Amino acid sequence: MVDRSVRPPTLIRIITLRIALFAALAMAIQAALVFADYYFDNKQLATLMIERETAELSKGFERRHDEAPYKLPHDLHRYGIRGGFYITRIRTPSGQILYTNCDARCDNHLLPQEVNPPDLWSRMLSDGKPLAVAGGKTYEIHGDKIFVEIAILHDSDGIMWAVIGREFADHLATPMAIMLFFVLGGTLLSIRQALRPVAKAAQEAGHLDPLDPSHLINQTSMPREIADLAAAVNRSLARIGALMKSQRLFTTAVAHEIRTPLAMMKLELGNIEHPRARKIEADLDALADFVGQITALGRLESADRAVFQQVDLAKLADWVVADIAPLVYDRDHTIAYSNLGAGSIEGHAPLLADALRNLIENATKHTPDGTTIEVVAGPGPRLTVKDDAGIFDAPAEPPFGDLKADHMGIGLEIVRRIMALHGGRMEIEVDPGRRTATTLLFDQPKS
Amino acid sequence: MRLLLVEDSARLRDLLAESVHRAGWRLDSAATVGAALLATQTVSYDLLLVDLGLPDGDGLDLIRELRRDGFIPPILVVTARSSIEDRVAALDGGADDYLVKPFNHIELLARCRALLRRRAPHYIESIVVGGLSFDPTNGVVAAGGEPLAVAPRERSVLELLLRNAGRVTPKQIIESKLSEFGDDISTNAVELAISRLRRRLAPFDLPISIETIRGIGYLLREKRQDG
Repeated sequence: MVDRSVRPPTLIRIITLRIALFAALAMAIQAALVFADYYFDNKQLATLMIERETAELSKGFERRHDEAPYKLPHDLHRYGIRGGFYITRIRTPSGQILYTNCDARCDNHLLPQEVNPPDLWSRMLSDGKPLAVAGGKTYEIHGDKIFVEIAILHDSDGIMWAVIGREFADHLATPMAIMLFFVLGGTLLSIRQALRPVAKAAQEAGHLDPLDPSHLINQTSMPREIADLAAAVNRSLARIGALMKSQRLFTTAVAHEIRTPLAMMKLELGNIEHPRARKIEADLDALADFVGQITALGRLESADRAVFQQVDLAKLADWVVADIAPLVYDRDHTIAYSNLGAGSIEGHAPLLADALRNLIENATKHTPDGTTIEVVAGPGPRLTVKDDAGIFDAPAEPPFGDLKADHMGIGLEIVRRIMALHGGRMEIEVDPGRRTATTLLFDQPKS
Repeated sequence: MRLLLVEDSARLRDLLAESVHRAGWRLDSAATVGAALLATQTVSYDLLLVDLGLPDGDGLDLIRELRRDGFIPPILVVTARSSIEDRVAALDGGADDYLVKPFNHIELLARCRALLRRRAPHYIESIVVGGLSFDPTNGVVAAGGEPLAVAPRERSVLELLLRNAGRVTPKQIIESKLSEFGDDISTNAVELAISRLRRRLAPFDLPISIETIRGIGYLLREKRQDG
């Protein structure tokens, strides 16, 4: 058994996961390359560290509203410690020191104060990791040149890693994220668009009917591969439809071939004045009934849903009751009709008339003489056949294992199938000895 | 009366001929659409019995063609096709009644008689159902051979019911017939007329009854006597 609760993932989900996986793989490889590029190039790393730290320190000039010309930003307190691993000196070209946490080590690692430094300089203070570097950068702040110089003697705060992380973000993560967004978005959009006619076709496929030649999967704007599949399904449907129609023709042809000899036999029997002849006549009628039911089944199995149209249930019931009334009275029953407003449904009028006629005939055959039958249209999309006998002994299951012409089973099975064809159902209510009500309920009224 | 039977089975043609002759009518036979067309052009028939499945065409097409050409006499379809769809198509196509095989002599003759009764008034001398007769030329109603005095309103209702004997006559049709008398139709005018008719007919103990099909109309029928 297939577990229907576990549904296969959608194509969009599969593709999203695949793209995400390959993007992650590509990012990992590129990250490794970028890391190797930076990590093993100490000179470049040193320059980047100097640039980053001096840029951060230069932000201390932004608060010029208080008296002090420079204030160390809060997050750079490593440059506020005297005797620490991070030292800085910020000065003007005239030699005025604006800020410093220098001690004697400044003179060892930074350029002499009387020297105007280049715009950007750096030098390694030692080999290997963690890096120890010194350097500086010239900034122009509000028209004045400012020299910001630093020395990192021991990178205890992991400035090198922050620099590498920043490079990752700037040169790898951001461009990759933008690319992923467009590639994934574009791919998903294309797939969605390509699948839109497929989703529509899947919806249509639920209502496909081999007997309705106009009802095929629409291949318009489908991708070629899927259109080929749809065309194959349409061809199969056409073959099934043709098979069902030929089966219908066969069934009805057989029934017709039987009816003419039955007519001859009945007419011949009519010339014989003997009670046994009447008995055979009754048997012939039962056989003819059976042939009629078989023909009805054949017709039903291959009913062409293309011919479904609006059927006024009250009008249909009125017609059937008027048509069958003489037969009902011949069987010593009476019949009445009430219209409580049944509206219209989309359906196959002859089959619906067959269904109602079947129920009325059943009521006349299986109830005692004098039984009153009432046909009620409505309220709402329903037709009810009631009688005041309260007898019902039809089998609950379709009776095809034991078909008998005079059995209620096959007739009711035909009614059930007609109702199923119309998306409706049949309900039987029995109050023994008092009332039997069989209702044809249609679920989708049109008005 | 002269009838034409269009049926391809020779054996069935013989058996039906027996039936029809027994009723005192003449029966000509045709086995094909072509033969039937030729026969209707040369002989004037009172009733046609037509099978639908014919070797050179469909009986329904024959009926349509005859009606298109102005053929007036009633047509009874005698066929193996039993679906309501086929019946409706035949009746819409111009047939007057539909009899599904198999049937017996009694059913066939009853249908033929009913159709002959329903023809245009100038064709018939008298409509007779179960001992009740109505003469459309002078409006005389007779029950069991005795003339019966019936008021004009009831007489027109009775004529309708007799012409439709064996079939349900819709109440609206009876109402519109009564409205021809000029007065406003009260809500129970039809019920009153039917009830009066039943009272008038009751003493004669005729083998007929007028049934009320509540919600639809009335059915004048011959009671079954074969038991």
